[in-house]
This record gives sequence, structure tokens and C-alpha cells, in this order.
Amino acid sequence: MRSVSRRSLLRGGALGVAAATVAGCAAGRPEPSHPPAAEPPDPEIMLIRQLIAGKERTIALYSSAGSGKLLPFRQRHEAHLAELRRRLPRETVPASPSPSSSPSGTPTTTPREPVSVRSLRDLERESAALRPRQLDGVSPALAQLIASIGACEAAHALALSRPL
Amino acid sequence: MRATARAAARGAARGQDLTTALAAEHAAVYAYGVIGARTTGSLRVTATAAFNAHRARRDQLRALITAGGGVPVEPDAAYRLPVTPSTPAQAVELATLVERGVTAAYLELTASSDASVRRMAALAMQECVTRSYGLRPEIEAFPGMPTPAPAPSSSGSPAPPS
Repeated sequence: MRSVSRRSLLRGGALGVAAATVAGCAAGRPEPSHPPAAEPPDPEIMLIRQLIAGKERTIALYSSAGSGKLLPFRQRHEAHLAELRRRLPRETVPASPSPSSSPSGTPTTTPREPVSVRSLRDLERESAALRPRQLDGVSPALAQLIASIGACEAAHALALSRPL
Repeated sequence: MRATARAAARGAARGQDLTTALAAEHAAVYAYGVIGARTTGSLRVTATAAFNAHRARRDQLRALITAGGGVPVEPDAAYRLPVTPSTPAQAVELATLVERGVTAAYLELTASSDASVRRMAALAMQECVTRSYGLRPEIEAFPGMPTPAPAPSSSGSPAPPS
């Protein structure tokens, strides 16, 4: 047992020396002309960012519509936005404030022209239709969140097709 | 062997989620049968349409379970309803409770490892929520999710799920 252990140690030491030699050779080479490739982006993080951008646009459209009756709709989108931002790793959360937290309550991306209820309804309908296709390959927890958001958007689309 | 065991466990979990959704659809079909029998006019028309929609989803879930080698759960002979629909208001109350319960069951299914099952469950959730809105025009920010936690800020926005 003891001799095996010594042999192992010796072998390990020899390998260690060999590894150090290889590393030393590598360190002695000139630096490559291009920087090492960056880590590929996490598809789930990319999707969350995409969803966040979509929610910010939707909230901006609701803000520009200017009807108090649409406020609950906007607030639900803001809740979606907050939850999506919460799913991002801390270091990747965008520094921009949420639209509702700006002093005027109006996001900087607010469209100049007021939007119609019909266009909001169409937007909600398109968003709801997109959600089931966004569930492929994402974590179970994110799939559930997206599905729930889609259900809310489907209800929005129906509500906006009726007199407010 | 470990990979096989993991695959079997995933299959079993998926089967359990499908069974939960099927059980919810069985209950919905029963409840809408009662609602249809105890209502008249447009409410009965709405209840009949909902009955047919839930029956179609029930059959779809049965087929999925059978195709996966499982045995679909059978409906109970009767269900204890949370509300006895003696008035139109009570019928609406029961129907919205049913839709909420089925929505929650489908939310579980959207976490399935099968992409086609996820899509089907997400669409079924949207159907439940819009049916519910047709009966009572109320919208939750996160349908199917557990009762929301208190809002994280004082903006008055509906709170996200915990």
C-alpha cells in the first residue's frame, strides 16, 4: 500500500512537472492576434431581455393612449415587467428605470401619436398568440411565467374588443 | 441505467401533470353540466359552449396519456361543488371558480418537458381565462399562479407571484 502510494505521488509529481513545463511553453508563446471568444449568450437570458423590451414598448403605448380606463391594463404589464426583470441575474439587469418610476410617469420611449384601443387590442392578441411558441427549451419556471403572462394578454385582448 | 431512470422519472412526472389536468377537466365537465341544467337563456348557451370546450380538452388529454402508455384517470361519479348554482350569480361564481382551477392545472403542465404539451397547456390557459372573463370581467396579472404576494413597491401595481 505504502509503495503504491509513493509511486502515485511520484507519478503525480512527474505529471505536475510536465504540466508546468507545458504551461511554461504556452506562456512563452506570443499572444494570439485576436481576443478569446466571448461566452455565448444564455438563450434564456436573451429571451427574458426580449420579453422585457416588448413589455417596455407595450407600457409606453398604454401610457400614450392617455385613458384612465386603460390604467389597470398598463399596471398589469408593469407587474409582468417587474417579474421578468426579477428573473434576470443581478449583474445583467438593465440600468434604465422602469417606465412607471420616471418622474412624469411617462417613459422616454412614449410614442408621439396617441394610440387607439384597437391597436392595443391587436398588440395584446399578437403577444398572446406568440407566448405558447416561446416556451420551447426554457426552464419550467420561466415557461410557467410566460404562459401566465400570455393568458393575461389574451384576457386583455378580449376586454379591449368590448366597450371600456 | 441512471439515464434510463431519469427518463422514466421525467415520463412519470409528465404523466402525473397530464393526469392532474385531466382530473381538472373531468371536474369542469361535471360542473358545467350542472350549470347548464340549472340556468336558462344566454347563460345556458355560455355554459353549454364551455361544457363542449372542456370536453374537447378532456378527450385531448386522454389521448395524450394513452399515447404515452398511461391509463387515463376516470371521472368521479359526482363532485362536491363549492357553490350550488341556484341563481345566475351562483352559476357565474361556480363557473369562474372552475375556470380558475383548470387554469392552475394547466399552468403546472406548461412546465412539462414536452414542448408540444407546453404549447397545448398555454393555449388551454388562455381559453380558460377568456371564458372566465366572458362570465365575469375580471383580469389577474398572473392567471393560474398562486395568490400574489404584496406589491414590492407603493406604485399600486398588481403584485407579481412570490
